[in-house]
Amino acid sequence: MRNKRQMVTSIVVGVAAFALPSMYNACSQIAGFQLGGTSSVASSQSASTPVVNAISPSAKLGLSVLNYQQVVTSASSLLGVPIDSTTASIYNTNSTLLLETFDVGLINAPMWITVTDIDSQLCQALVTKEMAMTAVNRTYFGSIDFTQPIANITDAEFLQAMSNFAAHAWGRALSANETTALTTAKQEFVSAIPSTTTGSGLVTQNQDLQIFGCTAMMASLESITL
Amino acid sequence: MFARLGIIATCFSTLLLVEAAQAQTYTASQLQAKRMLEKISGTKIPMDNPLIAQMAAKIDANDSLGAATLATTHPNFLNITVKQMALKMSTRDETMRLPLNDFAAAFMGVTRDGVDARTLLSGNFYYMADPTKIPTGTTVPANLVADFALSNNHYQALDNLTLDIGSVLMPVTSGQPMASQGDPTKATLIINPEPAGVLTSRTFMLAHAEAGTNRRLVNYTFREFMCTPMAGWADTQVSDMRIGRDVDRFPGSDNNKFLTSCKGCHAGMDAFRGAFAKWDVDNGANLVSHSGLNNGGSFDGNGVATKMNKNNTVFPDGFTTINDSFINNAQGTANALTLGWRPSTAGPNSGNGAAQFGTLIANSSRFSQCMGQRVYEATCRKTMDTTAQLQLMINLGTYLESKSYNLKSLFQYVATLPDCY
Repeated sequence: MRNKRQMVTSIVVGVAAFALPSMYNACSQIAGFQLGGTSSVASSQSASTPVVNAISPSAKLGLSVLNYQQVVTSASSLLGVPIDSTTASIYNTNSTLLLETFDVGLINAPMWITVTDIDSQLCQALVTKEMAMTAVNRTYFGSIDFTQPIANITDAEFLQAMSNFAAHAWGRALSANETTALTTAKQEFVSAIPSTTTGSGLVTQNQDLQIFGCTAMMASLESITL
Repeated sequence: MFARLGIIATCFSTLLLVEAAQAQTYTASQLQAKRMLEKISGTKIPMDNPLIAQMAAKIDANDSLGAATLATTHPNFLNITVKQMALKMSTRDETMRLPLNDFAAAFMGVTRDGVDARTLLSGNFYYMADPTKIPTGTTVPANLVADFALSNNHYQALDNLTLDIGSVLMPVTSGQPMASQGDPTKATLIINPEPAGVLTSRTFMLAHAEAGTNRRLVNYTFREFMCTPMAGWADTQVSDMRIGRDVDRFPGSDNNKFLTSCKGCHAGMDAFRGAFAKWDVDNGANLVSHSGLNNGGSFDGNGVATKMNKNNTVFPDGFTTINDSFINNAQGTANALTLGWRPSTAGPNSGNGAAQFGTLIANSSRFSQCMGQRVYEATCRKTMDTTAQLQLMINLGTYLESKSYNLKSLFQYVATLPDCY
């Protein structure tokens, strides 16, 4: 079991190596999501016109990012799982990477990775918690049969779980683009699983998929801003 | 492993940009309630939180203030929003990334209990954990000497991610604890003879009475409770008779420089600092000392901290501090308008000791406005532009005063402002 999980880890790392560049591209898109307003404003100014950009990115977006303690408390609140000692340890070790201020212009890669680290731990706790419940009593994973291997989890079942996150955490439905992105991500995740893996490992991979999806939803911009 | 899963998830998360919802599954009032609750609690809240439905009902009944009142019952209102606001005011670094301390605990308690916020600067009280409310399995040291007067152990132990601090705090009015000496194995409990709310808290004193000349206590009182840094109330037009002997009147052999620059800050600051004449910090022992207690520190025959009159040869004709009297030199035309002094037990012009100084500050209109600014920034998570939003700042100060200086009411009111969203 442990070896299989390690195998998954190695796969994940491999995929991560592929994914990281696109991740940072995506981050920079968010940064440019008019955080980079200064440069665009500047480029439109004549050389003799002083550029005054007194409005902070947060003010422009109407968003404020969660600060260090708010990150972990919010994830715990949204998921309905307590902050256990492992999560507290991750937080205490890495909290200096989280922001102190509310300025979305200060969001950076180490901060975001720390957020996902914390969220993934809490998502693991959520999966463990909901696996022990009957499907009808689950808040998020009612559509997921945790006894099934990952290949048996349909896109619709996965999307239903993600929709539950969107509804509970964001108060809205998934957008069309988000639905497409989630479906693609799920398919890429599944395709990265080695075909030689069999037995209980496949069920574990099902859990990993749900942790992956949960973490993605919890670490998204909408989940870490007010 | 999950960290690595998270890395990929991070990548993916960045694709989940904030987009217009295709379809809403909740009513507008429910979403408004969620947003209000999140502002007040400083935390993301799931839609199925029971408070949201209750708040939405209030909003539907055009009772936004009622909704905000419900929101302040959420534990994170105190444990995050109020705590972080107070922590940022408590030390020289002005950072909120600190463990809970006595200053912040008092702020949380006063807010929770609806106590007149002015007592934060003059009251004889502090807040500690009610031992009967500490959850089983949580150890909170509570020796008044070792864990309050000589360390932050008590408050630090309370500050973990799972304890509801706001619900366990209780007010103590039997006197702020101090220690007879710095060695915790020999020290005995003594009571603060000159309490002035959080101004004489261990945290504020260690931050601002350590070394220096006790001018920093005045400077930071203005920074934190009047939202006015030194440059904002410097005035070269007032008397320099209270400026200490350690301030050169001829810097670079140029008296004009003193008159046009140095004097502006020192005339006001030095005139006030007498209020803290009897306070010192025994650096080696990390001990807050008062001349009335004979518990360390360095004081002269008048009971005045020797640092108040140090470097007395720089300008021997300067002011010599012989007691804890102070005068208010911040009453020039501009300062009188901005700071809005009012009669108090100390009077608007002079007084003695830290508590009277605190009373003078807390009764000014600027104190109320400053609390308005701080509450606005903590709740709305925006920096208040005190020029463009001056009227809002004034209105918030007026509101606080109309509610008998109840900070919780101010938080509730701010959360209803359209400007907050």
